[in-house]
Amino acid sequence: MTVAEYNLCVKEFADRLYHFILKNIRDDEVAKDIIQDTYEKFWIRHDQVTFSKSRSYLFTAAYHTMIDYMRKKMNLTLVDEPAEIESGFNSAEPDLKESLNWALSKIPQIQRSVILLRDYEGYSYEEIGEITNLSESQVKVYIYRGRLALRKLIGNPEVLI
Amino acid sequence: MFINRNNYESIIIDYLDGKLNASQKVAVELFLDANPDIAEEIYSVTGFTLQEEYSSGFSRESLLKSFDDIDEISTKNFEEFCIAYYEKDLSKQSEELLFNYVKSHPENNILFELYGKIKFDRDNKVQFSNKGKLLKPVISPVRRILYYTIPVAAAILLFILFRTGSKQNFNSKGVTEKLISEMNILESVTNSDEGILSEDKKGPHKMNLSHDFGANNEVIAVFDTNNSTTYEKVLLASIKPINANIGTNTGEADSEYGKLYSRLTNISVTAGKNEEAIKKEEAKEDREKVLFWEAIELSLKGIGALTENNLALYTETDDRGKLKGIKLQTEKFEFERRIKRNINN
Repeated sequence: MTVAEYNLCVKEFADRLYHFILKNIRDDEVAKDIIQDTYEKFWIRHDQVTFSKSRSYLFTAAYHTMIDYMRKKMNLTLVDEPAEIESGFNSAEPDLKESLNWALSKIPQIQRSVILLRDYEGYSYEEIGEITNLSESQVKVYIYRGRLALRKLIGNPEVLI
Repeated sequence: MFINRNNYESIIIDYLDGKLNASQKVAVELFLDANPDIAEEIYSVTGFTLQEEYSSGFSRESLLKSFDDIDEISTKNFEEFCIAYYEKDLSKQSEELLFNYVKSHPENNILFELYGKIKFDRDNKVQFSNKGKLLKPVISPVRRILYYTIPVAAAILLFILFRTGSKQNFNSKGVTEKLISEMNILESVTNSDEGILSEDKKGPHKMNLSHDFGANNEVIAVFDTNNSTTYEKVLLASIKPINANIGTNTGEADSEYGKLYSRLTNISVTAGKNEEAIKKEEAKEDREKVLFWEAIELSLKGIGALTENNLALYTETDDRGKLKGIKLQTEKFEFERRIKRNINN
């Protein structure tokens, strides 16, 4: 990959990576650090990565940098622990988008990550599996469980629609 | 029962030989799972592993089920079907099944629609503010020519001013003011590019001054660097008879400097006639790092050497490498100027 292509990857994907990490980790400074680290790693390997694989490489690197960070700093359990589902978003005027964002923060990290990769980036189960080191079936299960959990968290659909 | 603790030995042999059908293989595997002592005995004797056997014949894939295998939707699996529908995992047949269920159970329509809205859209307003820090400098061939051209042009300009001054009076106010005025031009040029011509992991290269004679017996002052990949030739025809040839030398046969200084990069200043216009002969990626003011200094030294004036340019930089001061010096003349910068520049 040329320097120009590397720079194109910064312009094209830095915002998207940042958004993905920020949604996962919910800490602006940490998210910025993770993106910075990701691109440093990417730059070191830029002559070994083709432009066509760059997006996937960046998301994989950012995801694993985030997981490393969470393990070290936040001491989080990253297995598919069940969310404590207590239906009911506390808002006087519940709004679906607000409720969803709130619910997203409540589900397990792995479910959150795979759903965001699916919705934000439109990745297939297989591609998400490559990024997160999961099998295609596991990805599918996490997405299903995640969406079910989100639905239960946001509560009564009649109030929201 | 197909296999038990009394008959397993012969069946296991058939199993290892691949003589069993799929259902018999499953029966053997279940038997081994249920009798770990026998499984351990078999594995230790044969070195066989269940995993290897799976890959050679029986496939777990055959046990997998899809939504097409479900004939009926109920309250228990309705939400799973909803998710599968919006994930586009359902076949036409399963979609029909779901639609019929929703039609016959209209109270579930809201839930069905809700799943369609459990999606997250990327917010384009969320932007990574430090993008600029991630970008790496790219120097295009055309721009690189300018980078090489400007310092030598600047050096020659200084020299012309110097010479003009020498005919009059170096210390005269008029000459000094003119020089300051030209320095301002230089400063405005250099500010935009931080003085970096190109970069390399190895850092800036030292250049050595030497002299030679060209094809027309003109004097050539050659400043060598190394790791050359380009050759560019610039003629400043308006300032005759001094011409500047700036290039990185590939050692190619058609390159005059290539023949003489193969594999060396040079910035050369010649005194002689040259009718060519500005000409770019070749441009490839150039990876060496040369500081802008370093090139000016070297060019000026070249002119000084040719004219036996011992011209020298000294620059002073701050911690960030930005230019703070500039001093032009010969044995007879010295001009010094310090640059005022805003702290935020």
